[in-house]
Amino acid sequence: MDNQNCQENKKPRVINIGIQNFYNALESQDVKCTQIQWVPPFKQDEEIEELLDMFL
Amino acid sequence: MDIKEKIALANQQAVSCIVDSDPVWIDIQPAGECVEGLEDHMILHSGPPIDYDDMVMLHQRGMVSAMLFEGWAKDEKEAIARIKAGEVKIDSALNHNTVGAGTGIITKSVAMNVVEDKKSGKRAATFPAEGIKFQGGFCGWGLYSPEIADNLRYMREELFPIIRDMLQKRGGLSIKPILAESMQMGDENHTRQTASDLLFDKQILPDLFAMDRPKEEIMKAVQYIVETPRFFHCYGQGASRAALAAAEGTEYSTMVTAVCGNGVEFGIKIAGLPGQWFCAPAPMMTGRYTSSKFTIDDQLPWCGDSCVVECAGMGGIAAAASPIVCNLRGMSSAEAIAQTREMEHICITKNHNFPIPALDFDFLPVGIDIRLVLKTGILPAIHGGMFHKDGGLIGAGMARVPMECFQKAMKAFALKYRS
Repeated sequence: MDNQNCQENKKPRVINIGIQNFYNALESQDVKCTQIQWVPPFKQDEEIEELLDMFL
Repeated sequence: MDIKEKIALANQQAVSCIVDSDPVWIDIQPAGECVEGLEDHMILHSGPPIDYDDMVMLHQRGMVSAMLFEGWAKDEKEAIARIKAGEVKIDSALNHNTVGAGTGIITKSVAMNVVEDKKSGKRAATFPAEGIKFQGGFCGWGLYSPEIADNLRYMREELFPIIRDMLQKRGGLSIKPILAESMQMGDENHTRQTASDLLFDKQILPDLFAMDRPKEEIMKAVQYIVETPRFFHCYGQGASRAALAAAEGTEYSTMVTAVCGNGVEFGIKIAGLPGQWFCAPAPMMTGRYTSSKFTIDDQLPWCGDSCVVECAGMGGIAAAASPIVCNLRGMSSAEAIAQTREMEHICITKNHNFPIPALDFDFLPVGIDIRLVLKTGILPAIHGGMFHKDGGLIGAGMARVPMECFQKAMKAFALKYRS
């Protein structure tokens, strides 16, 4: 493996799941990054969750 | 059929009222003749119902403006005394077949555009723009001056008769083709009507020039139409309101039929619970001011009913159709597309009338379902103009409909439909 390839392999390659700002920060530092949109499942209070189970 | 199947069927029926609607601009009439339930000595306003004492200054000023314009009081002092004595009825425009854009001040003698949905036969009335000089004057900002009042009378008595004649000669103007084509030309038809204005002009100007009227009259009408920015906005709102009126009262439907604010509270309505409001404190819009001198301290919380277009799948729902509008707020094209893709998660279906180039001709989502909002936590994105607390437009931006509105609606839905 030549030196250039070796350097290339040492650069971090990132998959960012969720918060977009992390992706933006890495991009601005020339770090290869793939963004996956994700948010944690949303939870309502118990009463609404019960109604959603009933109606959805 | 279980309750979930009933809701699914009802929502398909409700959303088809939007997707299959056929809105046509058919007339210009005094509000007293085309706004259902608008009585003498009644003033309509934007947003959910609110008492005079609780209103923001712009709405209070609008009430006074209406009293003076209709001749129900000789001055501001008498107008306020009569309002406080309960001599006029005050109601939300969205409790009628109309829309209160901005402050949404509507009384019996102002001229209104009438849009009929040929599919359902439902009609909606919307207040026309007041020309370039007084744009947003009476209805929008609730302003009043002798000049604004004269302009309203001029519109009603001189300007509109010729437009009305033209409209009747051509047999109305179909709104949907203009909306559909403009969506492919950079408009989301809430904050931006650049393309729809031009498409509208292309349709009606030849007919106006062909009128057997003095040239000066024709040119005044033409100037009013072409010089007024976002002239087409009221037709998009009328088309949306007529379609949503057809959906109102669909038993078991959880589809949103109104989204609006009065500067204090923000409210929604749903198809399966007609006449009921579900309110929360009005949100602030974020976006870009027209001048660096403005800050959030100058800004009024959400005021206006124009989100009727979001209920019909345009505006914030249609961000992908208008990266230009989103870019004014610093968003990228990818973010505009992502906003529409996000809205897909809370909408009932897609509107095959609106294929969008930036979505590789995928269709825009339509029909906000309160259940999907509550399940996903994704709040509907709504576009609009920012009001100064003292009146006037100070920017454009977006907000999200408060979660509390949907939670209240769900609880009320359960009260009626839980077996």
